[in-house]
Amino acid sequence: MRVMSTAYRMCGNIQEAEDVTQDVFLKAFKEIKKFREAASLFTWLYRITINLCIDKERKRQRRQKYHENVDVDSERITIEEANSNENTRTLDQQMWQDEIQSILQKALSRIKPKFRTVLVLKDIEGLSYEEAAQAVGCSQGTISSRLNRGRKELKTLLVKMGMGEEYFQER
Amino acid sequence: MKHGFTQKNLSAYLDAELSPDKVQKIELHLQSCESCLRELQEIRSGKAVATCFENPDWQDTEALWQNIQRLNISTPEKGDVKNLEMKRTNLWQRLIHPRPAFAIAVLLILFGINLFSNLKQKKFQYQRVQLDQALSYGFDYGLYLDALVAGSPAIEFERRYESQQASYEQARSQTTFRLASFTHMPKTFQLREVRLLKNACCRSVQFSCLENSREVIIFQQPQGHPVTFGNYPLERIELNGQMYHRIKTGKWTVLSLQLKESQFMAIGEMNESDIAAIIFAITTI
Repeated sequence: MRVMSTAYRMCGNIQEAEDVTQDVFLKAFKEIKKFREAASLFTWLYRITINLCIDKERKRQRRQKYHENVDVDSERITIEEANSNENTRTLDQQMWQDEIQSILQKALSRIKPKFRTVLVLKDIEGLSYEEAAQAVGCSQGTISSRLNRGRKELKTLLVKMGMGEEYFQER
Repeated sequence: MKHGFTQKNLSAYLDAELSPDKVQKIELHLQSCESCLRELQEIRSGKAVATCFENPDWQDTEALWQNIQRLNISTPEKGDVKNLEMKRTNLWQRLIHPRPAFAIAVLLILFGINLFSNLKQKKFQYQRVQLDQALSYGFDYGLYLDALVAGSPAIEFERRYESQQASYEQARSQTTFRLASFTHMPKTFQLREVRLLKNACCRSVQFSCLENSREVIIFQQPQGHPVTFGNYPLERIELNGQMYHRIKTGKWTVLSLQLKESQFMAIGEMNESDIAAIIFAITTI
């Protein structure tokens, strides 16, 4: 499930996440001999997942010359309309949540893969710095600096999309 | 405390991943640095919003897991294996196609062979030119001997080398070496004619003499220029401590003697005493 959720956050859609999950386990079974016992199994699986997701994204970008070139302004209108609409409050709570999740995922998809990766691993999957560093294959200091960039970019994108201040308050 | 260190570690500070001394240092810096404080606020907001992510309800995880197990337990389908194999190939393996690469390699080899044979041919041509040049710097007295042996005039020799009758004085003025004087020759010796011969780069002097009514031709040419006698066998003889080369063919004898400045070739019907007299006369010039 963790593999699938990471793949979903990295790829942005369920279908691709399922494909990646399948590939991850296939690859893991095939390359189990390469697994070093020094690393934990699940960070190794995270690593495979991330690599496959990045590969998939590169292939997709090559196929379609523009990558979901969504107009940020059009989304801003959607959110602002939703906020100003009197009917907003009467919207079904689940639909509203789905809408917010969709916006969050779109913003996440626009962050560069190397920043997105640490954001997904640390903030969404809840890995420690040490585990994230093992999964990505870099130092903990790099994880911290990439997290800085990733978090700032996420906030900037969401502000541009018109997300309200209440979402940026610590809970 | 450096500004860069704080900025780099702001996320780690927020996530309480730093050691107490580093935390203290960062907090100290934050008290005096507004830009880092703003940055911290931005990152904090980003972190807060990142916690809003919720996973969707996975509908068919059981089916997916069964699918994975089936892929692993059963023999992988052709497409799956192919995909995995493709991922293993390196970039250069994908870029270099075997057939065009083979064709290029063959062409390069052919080009190399052609270049090598051309160079070899050129080398031979160059050596041939060098040999011709070297021969043109000297005289081939074998031609003269050929004519004598055949009993015919030395037409070929005279055609190859420009020949001109001259007086002894003219010959002496036009040559760079000391001319033989023949003052020590016996009284029976008569100098009949002097001719100047010329090839590509030097002059030779031809003395036609009569010794006891037998004709002896003596050639004198500057030292350091090649002398050839065709295919006649040359023997090395020592006479009174003087080394010379001799050719004997029928009644004809050739004497070849090298001195400091010039070389002598005497051709004619000569016996041992004639040779000794000529050598004596030549070496006392």
